Formats: sequence, structure tokens, C-alpha cells
Amino acid sequence: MKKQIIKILTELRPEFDFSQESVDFIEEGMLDSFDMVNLVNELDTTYCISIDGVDILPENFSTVEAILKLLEKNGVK
Amino acid sequence: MAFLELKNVRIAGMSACVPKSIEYTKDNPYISADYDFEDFIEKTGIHSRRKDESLVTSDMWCAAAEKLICDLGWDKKEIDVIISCTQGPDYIAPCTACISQDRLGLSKECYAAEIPLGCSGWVYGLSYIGSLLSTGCMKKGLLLVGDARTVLPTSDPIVGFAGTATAIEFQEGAEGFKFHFGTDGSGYEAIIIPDGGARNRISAKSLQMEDINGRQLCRLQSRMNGMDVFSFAITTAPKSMKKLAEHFKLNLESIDYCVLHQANMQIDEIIRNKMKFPKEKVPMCLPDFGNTSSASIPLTIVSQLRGKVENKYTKFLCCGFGIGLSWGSLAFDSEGMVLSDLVEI
Repeated sequence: MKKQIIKILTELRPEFDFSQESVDFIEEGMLDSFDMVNLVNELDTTYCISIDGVDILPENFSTVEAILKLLEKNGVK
Repeated sequence: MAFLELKNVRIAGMSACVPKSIEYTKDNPYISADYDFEDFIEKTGIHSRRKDESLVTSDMWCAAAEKLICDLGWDKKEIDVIISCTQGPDYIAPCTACISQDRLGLSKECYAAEIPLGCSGWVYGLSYIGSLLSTGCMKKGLLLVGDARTVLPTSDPIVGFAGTATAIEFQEGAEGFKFHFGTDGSGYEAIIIPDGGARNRISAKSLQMEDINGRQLCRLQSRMNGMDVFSFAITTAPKSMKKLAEHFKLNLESIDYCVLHQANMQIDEIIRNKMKFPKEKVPMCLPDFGNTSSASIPLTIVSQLRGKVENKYTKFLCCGFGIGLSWGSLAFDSEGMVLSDLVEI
């Protein structure tokens, strides 16, 4: 699943390396609010889930691990 | 609970006016240091918009209203009410509703008032005018909504100019309108023009450009916290429509068209998925006209559904959401609703 998330992120912003573990994607400006909208739409479609708006917080999208946790919260295994 | 049901009123018709001048996103040279038009189109779904800086809001909605009055065969003397909604008034004061009464040549025996709401404005405006007309004391009215988008840099490829007119009339026994409303003023800073009101009066500082998320904006222009607005939109719009359906026992599967505020293609797509509506039931005018604020719902109906709904019984579900933060959902049925040709000036 981790690879799949990195693939989705890379398709959104091919100019960045999302495999780096110590980087905060939001703080580093790798994802802006437009990217977040696309990312949520892509995650919803890929994993057949419906991420709630209350979970649209920078900390839930700041790293691959954070995105993994959000997916797990939405029942993705 | 902010539910409202108004009986004995119907939408007689709708019209919309946009500038002739088309600006294509691919031709827009620059909005920020890292702006890439292909990326922008992919992210927002906006290919073009209408823009003419020489136009003011009443130019567009009065042209739309003139066309609609003519198509309906209404006598202007019979129009008892104008409610307007804009965030781009012709003047700070007086309100554009009063100016429009005169421009349209309506009777001086006319109720005219204005609501300064944004993207939820058409739904709220319909509740105002519907409330006034549902008693039957006043019989016909116009809801005028739209914006000459003066509160954002006109180079911003998100926003489009539009003005619309919706004709509402009293009709004994008409099914009317069903609403759900919501407000979260704690999010007032999510979309805001910081200066120009009493809190921060206009000063020399108001005109200084600031870097807001990579865009150069002054404090008399609207700025947005994209993350907060996104979170708000995908949370509240589906919940509001579901609450409306539950409260009034509406069968969502029987809805013919769900018309959303045209915020951004991806945001509307997430809302559509949450509502489980097929694409063909959720028309979009965003690709051609951009985000047209309060005008976006009627503009979508006029530009996308003309020829499809006039002669058959049609069930609509609409939702407007945006600055405030404010949101409203509306269910109404139409039969014989007149949709005028798009007016271009």
C-alpha cells in the first residue's frame, strides 16, 4: 500500500520525491490545497472509501505514514 | 434545526448573462511563481471563463432579467419584489437591488433588498423571496444574483463573471421549496477581504501587495485558506443535502438533477461521490465559466439543462456552500419552467 501511495503522490507532483521518510510534504510545500483535493479524490476512488472532511488536516497528509494511518482509519487494510 | 418549507410558490423561469469575452486558462500568462496552466486545468477543471472588467454586476443581471421577463411575457408592473445577492455590488452603497428596480423600469411599489452572501447566496435568496411571495400578498418577484468579480484579481483564472435572474411567482397549491441551512461563523477567516469594513478601515496599507500562498494580493482582495474551505465543502454539502432528504422524506434516487455550487471540479466530484449520484445527474458549467459564486447554480441550470427540463416534471436538489462559512440546500420540483437562452453582452 505504501508503494501505491507514493505512486499516487508522484503522479500528482512528479517533480518531488515522496519516498523520503523525514520530509513533511505540507511544510516543504510539496502539496498545496489543490493537490490535497486531488489526493483525497484519488484515495477515495482507489480504495473505495469516503474520507470525511473533518480529517482534511495537514497532519493527516504530511507523510506517507500519516496517509497510511488515515487509510487504516477508513477501513483500508 | 434550520429547515424551512415554503408552499404556494414556484420558479417560473431562469436566465443568465455572461460577458461575451472568453478568457482561456491556457492563455492566462501568470498568477503565481509556480503557475502551470495544464496543472491548473487538471486540478480545477476550469478551461475558460467569461470576463469583462468594464461590466458591473447589475449590467449582467439586468440583461438576464430583461430577457427572462420578455420570455415569460410578464408585465413589469406586476413585479412586486426584487431580492438580490452579490459580493460585487455596483457601489458600496446604495444596494444594487434598488438600482436594479430603476434600471429594469419596475414599479416604485416594489420591495427591494440585498443579501451580501457568496456561494450559498442563490439558495438563501430563494428562501427570502419565497417567504415574501408564499403568503400571496405579493405575487411575482425576481431573484437577481451574481458578481462582476471585483474582489479578486481579475487575472485569477478561477473566477468568472455572471449575473442571473430567477423569476418566482405565487401559485395556489404549488409544491414550493424545501430548505436546509447552516452557518459556521468561526470559519469567517477562511475566505475574507480583510480591509475596507469597520474592523480594518481602508488605509495606505490596504493597497500594499502581500504574498498569500504564492499569490500577490492586497488587503482589499479576497484571500482563501484552501485547506479549510476544502474540508468544509466536502463535509457540509453532503451532510446538508442528506439532512434535507431525511427531514422531508425525499427519495434521493428520484432526484433528476443535483446542482452544486461550481467550486472546483475535484471538490464537486468528491461531493457527488459522497451523494452517490451518477455523473449525468450532476451537471457542471465550471469548465466553461469558472467559479461564478452565487450565480453558479442558476448558471448551471440555464447553460447545461436548457432543452432538457422545461417540458417535463423535474426534481431538483441544489446545494450552495462557501464564504461565511455558509451553506444551504434546496429541493424543488419544476414543470413548465422557462429557461432563457444564455445572454452574452
